Order: sequence, then structure tokens, then C-alpha cells
Amino acid sequence: MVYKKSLGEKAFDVFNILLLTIGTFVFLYPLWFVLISSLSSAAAIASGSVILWPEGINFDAYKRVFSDKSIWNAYSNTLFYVGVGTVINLVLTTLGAYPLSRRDLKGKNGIMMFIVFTMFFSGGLIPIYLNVRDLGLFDSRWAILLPSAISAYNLIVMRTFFQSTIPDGLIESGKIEGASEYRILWSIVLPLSMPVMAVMTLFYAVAHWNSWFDAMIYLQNRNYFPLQLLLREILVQSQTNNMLGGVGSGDVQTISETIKYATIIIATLPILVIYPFLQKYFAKGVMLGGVKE
Amino acid sequence: MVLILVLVISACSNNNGGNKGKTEEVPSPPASEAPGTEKGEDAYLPLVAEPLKLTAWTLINGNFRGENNNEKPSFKKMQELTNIEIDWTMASAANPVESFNLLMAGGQLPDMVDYNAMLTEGPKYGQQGAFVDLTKYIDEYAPNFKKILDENPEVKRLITTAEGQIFHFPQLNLSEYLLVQMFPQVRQDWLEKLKLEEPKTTDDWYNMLKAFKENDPNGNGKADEIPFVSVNLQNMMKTFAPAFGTDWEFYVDNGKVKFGPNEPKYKDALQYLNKLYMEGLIDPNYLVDTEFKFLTEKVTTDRAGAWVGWSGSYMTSFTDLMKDHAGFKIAGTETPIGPDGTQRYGYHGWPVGSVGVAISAKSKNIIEAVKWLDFQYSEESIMLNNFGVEGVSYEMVDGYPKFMDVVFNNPAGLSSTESLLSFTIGGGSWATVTDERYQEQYDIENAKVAKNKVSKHINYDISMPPFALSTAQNEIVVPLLADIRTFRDEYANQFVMGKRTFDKYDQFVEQLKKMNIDKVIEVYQEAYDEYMTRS
Amino acid sequence: MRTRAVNTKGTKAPGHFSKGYRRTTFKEITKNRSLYIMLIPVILYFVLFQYKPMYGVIIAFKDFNPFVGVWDSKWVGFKHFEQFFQSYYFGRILRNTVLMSLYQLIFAFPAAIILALLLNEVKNQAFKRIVQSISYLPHFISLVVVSGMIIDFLQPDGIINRLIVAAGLMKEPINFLIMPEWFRTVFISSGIWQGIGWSSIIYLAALSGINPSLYEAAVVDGAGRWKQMLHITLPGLMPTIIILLIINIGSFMVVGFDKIILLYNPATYETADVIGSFVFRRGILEANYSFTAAVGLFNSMINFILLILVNQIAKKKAESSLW
Repeated sequence: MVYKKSLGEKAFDVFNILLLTIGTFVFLYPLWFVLISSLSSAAAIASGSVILWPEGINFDAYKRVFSDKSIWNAYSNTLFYVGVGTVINLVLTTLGAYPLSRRDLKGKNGIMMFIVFTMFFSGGLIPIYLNVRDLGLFDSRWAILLPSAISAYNLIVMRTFFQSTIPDGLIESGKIEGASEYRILWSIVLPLSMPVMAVMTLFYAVAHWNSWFDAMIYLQNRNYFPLQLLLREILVQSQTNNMLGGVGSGDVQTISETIKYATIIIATLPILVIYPFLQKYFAKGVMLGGVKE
Repeated sequence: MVLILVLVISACSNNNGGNKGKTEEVPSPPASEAPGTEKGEDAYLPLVAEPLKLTAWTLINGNFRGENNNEKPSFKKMQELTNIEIDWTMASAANPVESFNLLMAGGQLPDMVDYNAMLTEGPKYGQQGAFVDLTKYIDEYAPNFKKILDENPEVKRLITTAEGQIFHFPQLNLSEYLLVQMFPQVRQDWLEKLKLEEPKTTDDWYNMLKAFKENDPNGNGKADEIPFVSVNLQNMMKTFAPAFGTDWEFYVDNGKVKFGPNEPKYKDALQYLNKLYMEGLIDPNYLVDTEFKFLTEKVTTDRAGAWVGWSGSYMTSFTDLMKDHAGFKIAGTETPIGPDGTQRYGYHGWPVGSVGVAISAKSKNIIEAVKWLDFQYSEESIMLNNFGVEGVSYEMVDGYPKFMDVVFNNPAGLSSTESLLSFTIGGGSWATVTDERYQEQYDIENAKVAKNKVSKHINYDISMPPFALSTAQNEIVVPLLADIRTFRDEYANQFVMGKRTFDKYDQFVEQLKKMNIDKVIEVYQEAYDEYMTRS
Repeated sequence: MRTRAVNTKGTKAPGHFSKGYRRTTFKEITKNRSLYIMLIPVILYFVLFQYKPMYGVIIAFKDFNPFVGVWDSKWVGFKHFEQFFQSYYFGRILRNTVLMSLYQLIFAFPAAIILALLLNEVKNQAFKRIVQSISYLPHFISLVVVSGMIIDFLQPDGIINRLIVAAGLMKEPINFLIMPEWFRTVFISSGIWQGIGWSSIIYLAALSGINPSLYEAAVVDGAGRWKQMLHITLPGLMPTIIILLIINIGSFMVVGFDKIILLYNPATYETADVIGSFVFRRGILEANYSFTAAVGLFNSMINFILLILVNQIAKKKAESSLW
């Protein structure tokens, strides 16, 4: 559609682009800083001279992290948890959000309260831990996949999305044509919900990718350890060195700073790659009955 | 969503306390003082006739690049000697407090539990029935440990509860050398350049810092020197407050428990620091720059003149980082002497560390576990735990256990710590006697000199021992102390930085009274008195 | 409260009003039988993993010892709550917590929406994609690193001060981090810096769910972009905004205390010390699960009450609510 932009609108556009460009540099800087720091020498970082460019480029921190033989195993574990976990998340969350988005579902408010309540009240770490043990999930991969299977927050967001974007009329016409709820969900609702599904995928996948605490408390078999847990161990160890006057006091401990940055890069880079794939689902406007670019 | 975060900073540093007997002799190396039995083959080995397996839980030390403690030659040798094999559960140390608490909550403990805060947690859980009261077993089954307890009454005091129970085997620092890990450090090359002596009194310190500020010792023409850097006010107070006869925390004055900020002399210490601050002799950013990396930056950019720090990660690291800087040298100094001649070193460690191993009350092999843990204090095992296996990681050179190249110049590029931990558990983080000869090999020459100087000024009569309060006592004290310490921190910084003038000092004291400091002191006094009667 | 799918074959005999009502209910449930079945695994999850351990809430009323367990620990009633309320600093930390949350609601919450709207107005898809992807990057940097950066920037000789002095706005550098009056500003703005991109994602998704034919119709009617924004975009976004607002208020008492701890110091306790950071310092003295649980329960109760209030308001005024 072509229409003439008013002067005001043109000015706004220029201003907008300017603002966003400046914003981009401001947002980019933290990651840039982390990247160059991870490649700089410990001494350069120690003296605070690393600001815009790496100094004394070396890969020591990366070497240290990758010299840990279990790191590749940990990477594949994380991929497993992210893949399978996200699928479980999406299925369950959708199965929860869709019925609750339907106006004609009796008791939906009660069920909503039931779910929302869990966002505020929790038994606490120890009962939760004991519960997982009682369920027989200790030291198994299921302990990573099941206890966090549904996020109430995500469920609420998805439900809101269904409520506000799926017209009732569509669902009615589906029912008139004799479609079952499952078919309606699959063929009508989901194709129109690509944006929210993309967001949910992103949220859940990132949550799995970053998680380490559950693994730490529920897993004993190191073969199941995810990447973040391993990285955290490496980081914690290099930091305790700094404090202790005891064992290890003779070493140059400054490499811990570079390790800190390297672990962030190693952990974050893969995620950054996902987003462009999901982005196309955020395109403005989703045509009825189809996906448009 | 309401996750309960329990955060206890387990002091891996030796900030414990105990009165070390009345004799202040310089301890001889443990080898000749060894509480073990005859030299060489201990007559009571192996500990069991038939091979036995015991289970143990421990946190994997981050510097240990292997996966199981049994990979270490020291434990392999121990198994040969004792006929006991240990089945280790190596827990992740990503969050040690939670890991330990969850282990305890799970209710199914292995035979032995090794934890780095066992000094406080052992008695706590022991009294709830989790751990065995060892007093019944020591006389008969733990000859090595018994001997140590007999010869070191303050060790016994520190690990015994008010009811006379002992719930764990602790890590021990019997040599004074190990008790002094932190001390004031000064740019020795700057002293030489400005023709100054090492500062002895608080006035000397003032003059030295002033000279650093005004006379451009780093020679770059700019007055960018920061004479004294500290990562927090606490370190500064611990260094200077004893010179004025006071303390940042609790201390003992002729048997009476006192709280530093509650005493008049505390004002003198604050005023001294305030003077330093107002004249720009203290880093104006000390409150913000609390990370180690800031101090590192100031040292490596040739600006910091003096600071307080560890012998290893500060002194050795800095020297290494500045090896390309001509003439860079750090000297460790004694803590300052006050206007009336008082001198005291206020942040020493204690004979008992916080690491320890406890035995589960439900273990089916209590006696064997006691024997195995007692073995850790035998002469032979002390060598295994601190140095590894002879000929593999160390050699005896003129009667001194010297680490071999594989430790300090590891061919695979491991750091010396990582390397050492592949051979043994590390004397500083296990229930054994830590041998200062291992620490000596890590310290640079200047550090050794400093440690020997500083250790002369430990005063065990004044320092407050790190005994644990009972649950009932904690109930009264903890909520009050949380408020009192917040108050103290805020006001101390305000006084030092000049935001609050000293004519308002009385308000500070009054407020402390209102916060019930007297009640707190009363409880501590009661606990201290009881502690001193323990035998 | 569970609603099960009910299998009824026949209908009940007509007559009695209540029976008829029940019949209608059964009929409605049967009609939507599949929907209820879909909900079964979801409800099962919450029961098994969230409700089952909820007995642990009692920890707040006991002197909890993990080894002895929840049931066998000694009951102490409101002791921990009393201790909490009686602290000398209770008023201050409560005030700081509330103010910090309020500021976040007023500044940080709308910021994400505005970013989403601004991005939405960009015509160039490539530019939009790039900016969007970069905007959420800071979210992935750990708090520790971000705090380190903040401290670096705000030093008297740090970048921010250098810029301010160079631009002539101020003669002397300001040591931001030791001045209580600056703390909230620093905390909130750095929070926006780190979180705005990530938070805007939901709004961007919601924006793409708005029917494009609405825009086309508006253009035909001669409405400019501003009018389009007012009459199409904002209303289309409103349900999402309201729901997120409600959820946010539902975590009102939870101020990110780990970031506070990284940035505060005794000089700024006056404005920076919140409930979480104070409890943390106390935990250093003595790890006390029960005390922490009691404070947590206190926070949760307030959150919950606020949530119910706001939900009611939203229901009446905006027709969008959680329930």
C-alpha cells in the first residue's frame, strides 16, 4: 500500500532509526567486551586496559575450558535436554493454554487460579528435592526434563495470545464442520500462533540451555551433566583460587578472569544462532490460513 | 518460585580461633613431633584383616582434574597399607552449601562425610543425631588423634561441644607458619627509592603513605599513586585497629569479652583512618572496588603503594604479573605499633581449620571408619596427604620433602595446584595435619620472611576463638548482630569518609546500646567462659 | 480444584431446577470433553511437582533442621516472622523494596513496550532484524559480569564521568556508587540496559499477531501512522500488556537482590538495602532455612494479595485478566 508520509512521520522515522542505531551499540557493547576479554591476556585484563580491542591475544582460557575431556559430552547432553525438553514443554504448555483460552470452558477460572497459585507458593528447595527423589527420578535424565516441564508464566502468556488472536468464529466454523478439538487445535489454531510458539520455543530452549542448578542437585552421574554445570564448576574453581591462601597459592590466579569471560562466550554463542531462525515467525501479520513473510 | 537460598560463606580462609596453650614456643616441623607411633612401618597396619569398603561423600575440588579420588596415588597407597578401599561419591562443587544441605536432608548418609564447613556443621548435625559422637571411640581406636588432642588442648576445646561431644575429625594447622596467610604488603622498591624504612608505628605508616602520595615514587611525573589500597574497610580495620587496642569485632580483654565498636578506643582507630582518608592516603574508592581484580589493576598499573593481602594469590601473583617491570618488589610488613606501643596481629588462623570429616551415626562400620580417619593423622599418612607418594611427586632432599618437577613444572601444562591434586588430596583441605613444608614451597622468599615476622605478634589471649554458639544462644544473638553489624558498617564508613563528624560520635555509641549490644556481649561472655572450661 | 471430563451417555430426566442445572453442567462438560482431557496431564504435572512438595511451606513456622525433616522439626509458630518485623531496619528495607519495585514498574516495564513499538515502526526488515537480535544480547551476560562493567563505567575516572565532564554538564566527576541518592537510578537504568531487548520479545510477537487487514483498512480511511498506533496497535497489544503487568505486580516484593548485592556497599545501604539483601547478610551469620522461609512467605503473601487486587481491577476495567 502506498501512501504519502507526512513530514512529521518522516522526521519520526529518522529519529527512530537514529535512536535504534545508538541503542544497538549500547546493547552490543557488553557482549563485545566479554568477547575481547576472553581473548586477551590476563595481564592486560588485570590492568584494565581492555576496552575496545583485545590485547595480548591468546586462547588460554579457551584451551583451559576445552581441555576438560567431558566438555563435548556435556555439549551433547545439553543439546539433548534442550531438544527433548523443549518439545515436552511446548506440548504440555499448549495442551494447557488452549483449553483455558476457550471462553466456554466451565471451571477455567478455578483451574487458572490453581496454576497461578504455584507461582507464589512453593514448598522450598528441600521438599522439592525430596519429592523428586521419592518419584524415583534421582540421577536420571528425567530429573532434568520433568520437574520443569511447564512454566506457569509461559502458560499464561500462551493462553493470552490464543485468547486475543484466534477469533471465536474460526473455532465455531471448525466445530460446525465436525472437526474434533484436536483437529481444531492442530489445523486452525497452531498455524495462526506461530509467533507465540516461536517465543515459547525461545524461552524454554534458553531456559534449558542455561540451567545447571537442577543438574547439580539431581544428578550424580557426570555423564549426564549439561554444559552450564561443567562451565560453572570450572569458573568456581578458578575463583576460589583467588581467595585461598592455602592450596594453590603459588600460582598465577589471574587466568580466572579470562576464564569467566570465555565460559560466557562458549555458553552463549550457540543461542545467538537460534534467534535468526525464529525471527521469521515474528513477521508482522499472519494471513488467515497461511504464513506470510 | 520462592526458592530458599541459604548462603553460608564457609570461611575457607583460616579465620577460626582458639587459645593455643600458654607456651609460645616456635613449633618444630611436624616430622619430629609426629603424633604417629614408631617411625616407618606403623605396627597397627593394616587396619582390618579382610579387605573392607567404606563409603564417603566429598565435594570435588575444582582444581582436581580427575574424576575420583581413588585415581590419586596417595589413596592407592593408603588402600595398600590399610586394606580399606573408599567408595567415593564426588559431588559437584558448583554450589557446595546446597549440595551438603541436600545430602543431609536426604537422610541416607554414607559412612563418612567430608565438608569444608564441618567445624560448625558437624556439631550442629551431630547433635541432631546425624553423626557419631567420637569421644567413645577415640581412646581405643584413634591413637594418633588422641595424642594430638592430649598435646594440644586448644584443638580439643575447639572441636568439643558444650556437652562434651566431638563430632568430626578436623583439618589441623599445628604450625604457626600456617596461621599467618595475610599481612600488610608494601612496594619495597618504592621504599628504597624514597629512602624510607619499613614502617613500624602508625606514625611511620602515615609518613610513608604521605611520601608515596607526594614524592612520585612511580616516577611518571603524575601524582597518581594510591598509597593504601584495601578491598574493604574490614581489612583496614583489622590491620590498624589492634594498634589502638581495639578491634573490628569481638575480642577478649583479661577474660572479659568486648565488642570493638562498643569501646572508646575504637574512636581513636576511626579517627586515624579518617585522617588518612581526608589526606588522600587511602584509596577513595575502597568501598566500591571490593573485587580482587581492582586491586590487581592498581598494582599492575604501578599505582598502589601498600595493601593487605594473602601471601599467595597477592604476593606471588603480583610479582609474577609484574615480572617485566624493573625493580618491582613486595615486602611483607608487620602490623603497626600504636601510639601507646600496642602491637597485635589480628587476622591469624587457628589450629583447627573448618574442613573436617564426620562419621554417620547409622554406619555399620563405625570402628573401621574411626581407624581409617585416625590413620590420616599418622606420620606416614601426613606425608601422603601433604606431599603424595615418595618418588612420585616428591623426594627427600636432606630430610626435607621437596616437590618434584612434575608438580611445579608440569609437562602437561597443569598449574602446580592442579598437578599436586592429581597426586594427593592436599593437606590444607582434608582431615589431617597440614604440613607447613608444603606451603613453604609455594611461598616466595619475601612471603616466608614476612610470615615469620608477623607470627610473633599473635596474641591468643586477646583474639576471640571461633567456637560455635549453641542454638539457643544463636537465637538471641543472630538477629541482633545482623542489625548491629549493618549499623557498624554504615557508620564506620561515614566517619572514615568524613560524612559524619566525630562530634556526633556519642550518638553512635548510644545507638549501639539501644540495639542491645550489651545483651549480645553477655551471651558471648557466657559462651566464652564455658568454652574456656572445656577440656 | 479439578474439573474432570465426565462421561455421560444419557441425559437426566427434566424437572427439578437443580437437576436441570446439573444436567446443563454435565452437558457442557461433556461437550468439551476433549478439552478437559487435554488438561489432565497439565494438572497432573502441577499436582505432582508443585503441590505435592507444598507442605514445605510449614518450614516458616518451625525451627527446621534438614536432617530431622519437616515433620519432626520443632514448631515455633510466628517466631521467625516476629524476629523479622522487629529488626531495627525492617522499615527501611521494606520501604526500599517497595520503592525499587515501583520504579521498575514505572520505568522498566513501559520501556520494553516502547522498544517493541519503535521496532515495529521500522520499515527496513533487515535493519529491524539486526537491531532486534542485538538488543537482547545483554540478557545473556551473567549478572556478575554486567555488574563489573557497571562499576567500571561509573568510577570517578570511568567512561560515564569522562563523558559528562567533557560535555560540560558537570565540573567534577560524581562517584555514583557511594551516593545513596543515585543508587536507584543506577539500578533501574542498568536493568533496562540488560533486560529491555529480551522483555520486548513478547510484545513483538504479540504485534505480529495483529490482523494486517486492520491496518490496510485504516490506511484506506486515511489514518496516519500515529492514528494507526493509537487505534489499532495499542488496543491489539493491550491484552498482552495487561497480563504481563499483572504478572509483574505479582512479583512485586521480589527485587533482584543478587544484583543489589553486587552493586551496593555500606555507603548506599540507606537506599539500596532491600529485604533480600538484608536476609542474605544475616544468612552469613547463621544459615537458617526457617527464617528465610518465613521472609519468603511474607513476600509471597503480599505478592498474592496484590495480584488478586490487580486482577480484579483489570477484570472490571479492561476485560483482560488472569481469571
